[in-house]
Order: sequence, then C-alpha cells, then structure tokens
Amino acid sequence: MIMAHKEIISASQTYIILYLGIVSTGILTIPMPLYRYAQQNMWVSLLLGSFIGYLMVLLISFFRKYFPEKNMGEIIIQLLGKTLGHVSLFLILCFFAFEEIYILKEYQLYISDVFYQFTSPFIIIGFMILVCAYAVKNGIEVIARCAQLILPFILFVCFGIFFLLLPDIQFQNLFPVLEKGLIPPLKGSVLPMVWYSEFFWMTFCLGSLTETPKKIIKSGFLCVTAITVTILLTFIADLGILGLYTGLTLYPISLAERYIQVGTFVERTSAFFMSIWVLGVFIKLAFLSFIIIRNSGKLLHMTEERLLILPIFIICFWISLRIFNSTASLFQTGNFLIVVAMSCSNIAFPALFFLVACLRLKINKKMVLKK
Amino acid sequence: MLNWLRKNKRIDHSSSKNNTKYNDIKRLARRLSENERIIRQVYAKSSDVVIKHLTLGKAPQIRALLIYIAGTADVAQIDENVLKPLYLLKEGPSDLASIKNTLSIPDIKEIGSFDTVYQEVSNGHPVLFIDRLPQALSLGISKWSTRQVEESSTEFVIRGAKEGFIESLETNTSLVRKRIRTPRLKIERMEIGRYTHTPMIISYIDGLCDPDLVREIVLRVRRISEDGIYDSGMIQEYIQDVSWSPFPTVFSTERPDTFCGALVEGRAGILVDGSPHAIVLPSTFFMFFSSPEDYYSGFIIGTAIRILRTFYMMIALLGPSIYVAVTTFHQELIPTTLLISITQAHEQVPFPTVVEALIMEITFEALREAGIRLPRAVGPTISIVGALVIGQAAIQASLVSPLMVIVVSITAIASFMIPHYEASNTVRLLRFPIMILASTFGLLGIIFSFIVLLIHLSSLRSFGVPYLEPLAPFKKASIIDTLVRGPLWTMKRRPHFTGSTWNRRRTGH
Amino acid sequence: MTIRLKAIVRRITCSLLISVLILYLQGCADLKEINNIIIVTATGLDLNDEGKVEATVQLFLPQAAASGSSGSQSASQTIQSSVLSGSGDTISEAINNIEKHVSRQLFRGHDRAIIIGRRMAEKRIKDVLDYCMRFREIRQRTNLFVTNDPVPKILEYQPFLEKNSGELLSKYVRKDGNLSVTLKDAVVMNTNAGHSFILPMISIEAAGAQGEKKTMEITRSALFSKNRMVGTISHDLTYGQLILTHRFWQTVYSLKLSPDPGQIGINIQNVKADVHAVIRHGHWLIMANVTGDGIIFENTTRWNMLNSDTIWRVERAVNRKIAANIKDSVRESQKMKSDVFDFYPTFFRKYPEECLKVEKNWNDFYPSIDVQVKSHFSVIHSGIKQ
Repeated sequence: MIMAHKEIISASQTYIILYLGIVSTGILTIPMPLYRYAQQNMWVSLLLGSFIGYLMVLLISFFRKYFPEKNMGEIIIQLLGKTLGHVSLFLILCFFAFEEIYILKEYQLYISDVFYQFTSPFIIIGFMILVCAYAVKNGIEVIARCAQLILPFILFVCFGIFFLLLPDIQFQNLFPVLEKGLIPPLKGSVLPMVWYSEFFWMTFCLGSLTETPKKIIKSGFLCVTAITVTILLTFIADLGILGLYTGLTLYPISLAERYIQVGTFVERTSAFFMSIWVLGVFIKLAFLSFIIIRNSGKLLHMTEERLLILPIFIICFWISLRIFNSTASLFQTGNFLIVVAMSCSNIAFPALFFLVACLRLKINKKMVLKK
Repeated sequence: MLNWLRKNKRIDHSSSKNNTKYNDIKRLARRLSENERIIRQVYAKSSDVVIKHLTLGKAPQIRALLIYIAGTADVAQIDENVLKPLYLLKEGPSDLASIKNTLSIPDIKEIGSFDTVYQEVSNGHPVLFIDRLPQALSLGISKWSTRQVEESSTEFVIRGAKEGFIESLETNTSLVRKRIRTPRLKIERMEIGRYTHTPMIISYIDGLCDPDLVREIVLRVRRISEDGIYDSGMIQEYIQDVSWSPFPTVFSTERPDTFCGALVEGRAGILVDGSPHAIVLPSTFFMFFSSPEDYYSGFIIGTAIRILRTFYMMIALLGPSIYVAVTTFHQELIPTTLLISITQAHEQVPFPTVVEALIMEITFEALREAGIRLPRAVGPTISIVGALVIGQAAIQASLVSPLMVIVVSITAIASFMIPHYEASNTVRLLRFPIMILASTFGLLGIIFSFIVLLIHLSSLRSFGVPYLEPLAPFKKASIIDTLVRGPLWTMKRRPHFTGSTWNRRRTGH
Repeated sequence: MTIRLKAIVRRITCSLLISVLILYLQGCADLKEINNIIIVTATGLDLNDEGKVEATVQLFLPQAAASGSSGSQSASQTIQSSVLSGSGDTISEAINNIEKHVSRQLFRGHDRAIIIGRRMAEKRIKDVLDYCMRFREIRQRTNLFVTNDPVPKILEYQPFLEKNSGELLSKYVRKDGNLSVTLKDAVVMNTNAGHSFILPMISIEAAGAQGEKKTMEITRSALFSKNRMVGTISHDLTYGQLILTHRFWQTVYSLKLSPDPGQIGINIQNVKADVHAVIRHGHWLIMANVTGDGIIFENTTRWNMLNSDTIWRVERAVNRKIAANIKDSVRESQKMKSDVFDFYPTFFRKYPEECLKVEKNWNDFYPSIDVQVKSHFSVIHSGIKQ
C-alpha cells in the first residue's frame, strides 16, 4: 500500500486461472455428452478441439501486439465505434452472465446430486456467490494469486485420480481407434472446442499484463497443452474404468473416482475430491464475474466498479435459483444453450473483432503509405 | 491508508499553558541562580532528582550545579570521574573546554536550552551547570538497571545462538552490531510517545534495503501520537497495512540472529527501548512459519521439519473441523473399522459432535491461557488437574468421546509447532469459525472457509509486499525457502523487495 | 457522492450477510449426527412368494458392541449385528419400509456386499443394478453375490473370524482364485453386446464333523445374459473365465502322472493370458496364449523334481489341465449363451465392422465361436527338498 498502483498480473497467472477453469468443469461435464458422439475415440475429439485453444492464444497475442495496454472492452469500442461497440460489448457480457449462471447451476446440481441431497440450492449457490463477491472486491491480482495457490490442489485431484486408478484402468478399452472414421470425433470436437474457447476471456485483462506477445504465445501454448494432457488423462481414466458405461452416467469422472481404493485406508474418498474440485470452480466463477463486473462498469462509465458487485451478483443469484432446476433441464436444454452461448461469445465475436481489426490495420497501413 | 490516518488523528487537549513550562525552548541563562530557579520549579515534587551545588577552584571560586536522577546515573562514575577532578581543580575554569578536558568522560555534550536539559536528565545523563556560562554539559554516564542478556523465552532453538534481546536499547543495538560488522548498518534513532519519549531505532543495511521502505516506515512511525509506547507491539499495531486481519503482518522476534538475518535480506528492523521484541519489516507469511534452526541444521532435516510443520499447521487450523465434518457429514470417508469404534465411543456422549468439539477446544484454550499466568509453584498441580479434567474424567463421565480427546490433543500439539507465537494465536482463533462452518456444511464448509482465507491472505500486504510473496505471486528464485528449505547455496537471490540493488547474494557458484 | 453510495452499499452488504447467516442454519439439512445413523454392513435382495421385492439389511449395533467390549470379556460372543427385512414393489420401497421400522437413518456408505437371491437374479437383476448405480451412498466397489439359500439366513450367519458376514464376504473374495465381481464390474460387463456377466454364488455349508463350525463359501458362479440369470458353472470352471479375463491370481492343483501311484501338488501363479481374435474365412476364432509359473508344493511320486524330464512331464500335465479347463468353461458358457469372457470387445477391437453386423444377435452368434488355447507353464520352484 506504499503507493496506489495499477493492478499487474503476469500472463502465466492468467493462464493458471484459465487452466483451472477449463480443467475443473471440463473433466466433470465433457465426457458424458462427448462419449455419445465419439465413443472410445473421445480423446481424438479433445485433440481436435484443442486447436481452437492454440488459435485463441495467437489471437490474444495479436490483440496484445496491436492494441497494447488495452483490455478487450476498450478494443471493442475502439474497433466498432461507440454505439456498435457498446452494443456488442453488452451482448458479450450477457452471454458471459449466462455462462456464469450455467456454471453455478452445474456446480450446484453436481453437489446436490452427489453429496448434499437435502441442502437447499440457496445455500450452496449463495456460499459460492459470497466468496466470489469477496474475491472480485479484492481485484484480479488477488484472484490470480488464489489461482496460483489452488493450482497444486487441482493438479493433485486430476493426477491423483489417474494414478490411484492406474491399476484398475483397462487400456484395451481405448481401442479400436477410429473404427467409424473421423466424422464422429469431428462432430464431438465441438464440445471441447467450446471449452478451449474460454481462452478468449483472457483478452479482458490484457491491460494488466506485462509480457511481450511472444512470451504470451509461448506460455499460452504450454497452457493449452497442459489442459489437453490433464483432460486426456481423466478421459483415459473414464474409459479405462467404465468403458461403455461412460456414456450412461452423468459424471463419469466422479463415478470412476468412487472406485479408488488403496489398501483399506484410501477408499470412498469422493467427498474429499469433490471439496477440492470446488476450489477450481471458484476460480473460474470469480474470474468470469470479475470480467463481467469490470466491463459493465466500463459500459456504464462508472469509476467505482465495486458498487456493481452487489446488484450483479444478486441478479445472477436470483436467476440461478430460477432456471435449470433439474439435472434433466440442465443436461438437455442447458447443454445446448451453453454451447450456443459460448460459441457466440467466445468464437464468433472474437473472429469478427479479428477481421475488423485486420481491415482497420490494413487501411491504416495504406494511409501511412499514402502519406 | 486514508482511513488509517483519520483514525489515529487524536487531538491533544492537554497542551494548555500548563504544559509550556515543560517544553521550554528558552536558552539557558548566564546566571546560575536563574537556571536553578527554573529547574527547581520544573522538577518540583520530584524527590528522586538530585540537585547538587559545587564550588570549583580555589582562587576564583566558581559555583556549579550538578543535576541527575537518582538511580539512572552511575553514582560511582560521578564520584570518580566528575566530582574528584572538579574538586582537585586549582583555579575556577573560565570556559567549557577546560572543564571538558578535566572530566575523564568520553561522552560529553554541550547543551544550550532548557528542553534539552530535561531530555538529557530524563535519559539519565547528569547535567553540569557552571555559573556565568550560558551552556551546560550533559555527561553520558547513565546507568539504568537492566537484566543480563539471556536466552529468549519464546523462541527456543537447540542449535543456534542462545542470546536474546533484552529491554535495554543500547544492549540490543550492540547485539546487532556484534553480528553485522559493517559501516553500512544504519541505526536511525527516533523518539515516540508524547510523555514517555521512548527511544527507538530503525535499523537497515544501506544499499540492501529499499530507501522507499525506510522512508515509509519513518513516515508511519511519525504518525503515531500515542501518549506512551511501552512495547514494540504497540508500534506494530499502528504501522501495519491492514488492521482488520487476524494475521500478523508485522514480524517480531526476540532473537538477534533472526533480526540480523532479516536485515541482511534487505528488510528493515525496529527496536524499541524497554521491549525485548524487535520488529522486522516487510514481513511475509512464511517468516512466521520458519525457525532460525531450519537454517542451522542441514537442509534435508530443515526441509523435513518444515514439511512436518506445514502439515501440523494445517492440522492445528483444520483438525477438529475435519473431524466434525467427516463424522457428521461424510462418514463414508472413515475406514469401516474406525467408524465402528467411533460410533461405539460416541454412543454414550450426550452432545452433538460439534458441541463436544467446541467444549473441548475452549477448555483447552482456557487451560493454556491459565497456564501462562499460573504462579510457578502451582503450575504442575494445575496441569495435572487439567489433564485429568479434560482427559480421563471427561471420558469416564461420558462427556466426550475418547477420539475427541485425541483430536484435541493433536491439535494442541500442532498449535505449539508453529514457531511464532502470534501466528499460532491466529491459527487458534481461526479454528473456531471454521469448526462452526464445518458442523453445518461439512467438507464444503471447510473448503469455503479455506477459500475465504486464501482470498484474505492474497489480498494482504506488508509494506507493499504481498503477504504470500514467494508463493503467490510466484517467485521462482525464492520459492526454495518457503515450504522447503533448499541448500543455502541455491538461495542466490534476496527477496525481490530489495529492489534492484545488490540482488545477488554472492558471486561465483 | 461516491462515498455516500459506498456507505449505503456497505450497509446493504452487512444486512445481507446477516440475513445469509441466519438462513445459513438451513445448511444443517444434510447433517447426519453419528448417533442418528445406523451402519449397514450388507444388503440382501430377493423376491418373496408374492413376487414383491424383499430387502434385508445387516445392521451394525453400536450399543451391543460398546457394552460387550467394556463389560464382559467374551466380546466375540456378543452379537454385534442384526438383520431387518422389508418388502415392496421396488427395491427402494422395500428399503424405505425397513427404514420406517428403525429409529435411525440407514447409512449405506459402508455396505460391503449385496447378496441377490436366486429368484431375484433370475427375474429382476436389472432392478438391482439400476438401483445400486443410481443410489449415491452405495459404492461401486461393493461386491455382488448370488445365493440359493434364503437371503436373511446368509446375512444372519455369524462368522467365527470376522464381525459379520458382510465383512467376511468382502475379505473372502480377495483370496485365492475366488471370483470377485464388484458392482462396477457387473455394470460395465453388462453394457457389452452380450449383456452378460458373472457373479459368484455363495452358500452356507453345514457343519461337518463335530466341533466344526458352519462356513460360508463360494460354491459356483452364476452366469447372466440379457438381464436374466441363465445358469451356473462350477467353481473350477470359473478359473477358465478368470484366466481369460486376466483376473486369476493363484490356486493349487493336484496332478496324477499316470504310471506312478503318487501325486503332485502344484501351485499355479503369475498367469497371463494373451487373447487374440481371428476371423478366418468367416470362421470366428479366439486364440488364447496362456503362460504362467508353477511351484511344486508336494511330491509323492518316485521322480526327482530336479530332473528336467520330470519337470517337462509336470509342465505338460499342467498345460493340458489348464487348456482343458478354459475350453470347458467356454463351452459351458456357450451353452448358456452368456459371453462372460468379453469376446465381443475382443473381436470388436480388431474387426469393428464385422462385429457391428452381429451385434444385435450376438448371444445367438456367440456359441459358434471356436477357442484355441495354447498354454505354456513353467515350473520355477520345487520347494527346498529334492
């Protein structure tokens, strides 16, 4: 507190946030729907989907290079002009808010389904919202630091599950490879693609980064690969333990994890793993809500964005208590809607911005040449 | 920061005209009788102030006056080095220089105003007035009653220096000087406390310590307007960044070697007269969980002990909560045989598990608190009674289950494993809200309280340095000295807050 | 302005926090105080004569045990478990009916074994699997068993080594060459094209000689196909299934080498099976290559066990015996049209297209598969005697 300073985070910190966010929800929700498309080739879908992650990293460094020191919110308004920029920023924020609510519901339904049958969603969601509000109040620096502290725990969960299950994994379940050709995994790759597209969120804290675009690419590629490896391991655990049953259960990783037994001491550990998993979800939600609040502050031209924490969280809380109140609706409608919302906000919009930025830059270049 | 300012701005109502006589900045008079009158007025009703008339020389007799406070000045030295030479003078001295030459005392100061006279007298320096001279001499022969340098009572080590700071500032600075023998070691003196005028020093190593840090410390210390400062703990409370935190953000130590180690790392230290506890700034989380012994025993042992300590710190914080959560929410986590014995033991206990845990924990905390204040003679008796009360008898009366006693005692042992007393208090305090959360929400409650703790810890700063520094934000260079203790030669860099100056600890390697 | 707004926001936050704290007491909803639960150590499911599901649970009695351990010395003799039954149209209803009778909540997280009565197995095994997978407290490691005896009798059985029959069963299946099928194993096998799986059958053997105690043991194995129990195979033939599905651990065989009157006891271990699927001219063939080690435990023949000729003869005998065992067990299962050897996935991995054609009527196709077994056992020790 020696001096009032600008919030500074490093690219690797943001990548840790993204890693935690993508991995923690990815290992839980991707496998079941993905298995329906790709069966034992779901890992192929994952690899195909990861390409969008690499593309996103390139996109991030592109914006970083040509719009230094600026957040995506500012870039959008600069690119599309005031009215159009504000409208599209608002749309994106709406999608983000929906994503936030979806993740909240996903977390709550999993917790109520598997552990806390009788506790009301009000409490489960309320607690999460309280801690998120506290984190957002403290700013992105604190969220990034929390992510750094939480990373080892989540790594422990993912790798711990895999290595503890290793003796029971039947690797022959992973074969045959591509017996129906590349089409089914390709269809399925939409799902991981949507998860990888969350890298777009990072552009909203570009202004706080200090690294050069080159370094951003390097650590970004590392991060995408790390995510792929982590999710791949859990896929192998799912398939190796459950085989065909992967497609029949809502949370395959949870089911596989319940099978862990080491001696007679480490068994029935799911409550323990669940509670650590919550840490990852917290980081994802805190980061997303930070983006929403920071940028809606921009949208409303407010200097003190913290005032928005309360109203926005109350709205999110209220909506999340209203919609998707059963697993059926979450997995039927919710899954479809989230894929649409994510691909709009995280794939379509960025692509649009990229094109506009390219055009602008070209025109600018010509102008410079003419002069 | 603004808040902090507002809070501490106290208006001094007592500074009326009555006080002006004590803050007289008037210059000394030439006439001794005039000076004596003023001084007698100021030191009225002070029976311990000795005012002694002297006559110097034979031929031109000159009157002189010696003032000191009984018990603060070294009477033997006054006798030997002041009175004797003065009586032996042949002729009355005409100027101060000749007197200075006569007295065989190295530390003599000339003073010219009344407020300095009062200050010097309060500091235990006898002041010598000479007639017809507008200056007085302050003689640096104070002798305060102090205790010997002893082993620190709160920070024990097996291997390492047994010296601890004591209440005397001079002795403490000498202990520091003894360890850091470089002129770069700076010791800036200040006085705080409106009435106590407590001397304190800010110590740092020039070139290693960030000058901004020293400036900020001086700034914050100046803002303290307390009537009296009796311990460094009071300064600590005023200068920390966030006051609403259970975590100590200012590190205090009784050990000169810890203090010097921190200075050499580039931190700054504060020593206050009358307090054996030194303050080290900026202080990070891991300072509170490391003991100097980690560095003196080999790095393998050091690392092992640190890992053990971290583990037990988690137990001290979460032990009873996890027990409550697991036995009331997640019984499937317990191995079957253990669960069976828990159910059997709990069958006769009338309370819910959380009440049982709270009763036991509070009883233990009470025992511990009482143990500090027990007279030495009754200590063993009480501890036997305590052990019987919270152990044997409670189980036999079916008040608590035996397993709960085990959990509570492990927690107690664990809380004593934290090397720093204040940090262990924090852990003890935080245990209770977490326990209550655990009892209503199970493991999820524990995780949420863990998240809140993480956010809080990450948001804390100590003099601008993030509290969890090498871990979050992650600093590759100094991570080797946190949860593990790497070999000394791998710690090549000082913590980053030293700025860019002299960042490398050593060349070579 | 902003300072004022901030104060208002702070006040709202505070009041919200307080209200949340009050509402927070709702969190206790999932609290299971340890005095209010009763641990279920095993569950039995059967159909009664009216065709209703009859559920039986084995409960652990904490109070009996507590008084037993502190009071009398003969703790082992106090009965620590009790059995309760209830019936209903569905399993959950039956369990719920039991719960109605007891003052405490049934806690099933420590359920070690689920015992399925014969009638239940023959008619409604699907209900069992569905219920157990759906219910969050039941673990996927729980062992499944089938029994011909009345289910309550199995649960009431007081073993002389363990606390109760549930614990006995969970330890018992980990031993020797016993078939151990967990809930997850059964469910995963059931998803294959043949919808077939195998479960161990237990029964209580009456006391033989005087002073001997009653024992509970695995006698046969039950084969399932298309959600019905279709038959049983003997304990010995189950070894074949275990070997081909890589689950065999160790057992002892006795061999008779023809001209000599003596016998050889040999321990078989470290058995590995290499199973290949081959389709040759429309002919489906499984080629299994079984290798393993043998240790001679006993030798009453006149031959020297350090002689390589003798060892060769022993090895040949073992090979013949194992190969015959595997072939017999496959044949038995083919008779029942129950693909418990996981042949479908084996073929599918190599010939996905051909398999998809016969996937629908795999169970009818299954008996036409031929099996070739080549076994190569080697005797590695012969004890510390010649």
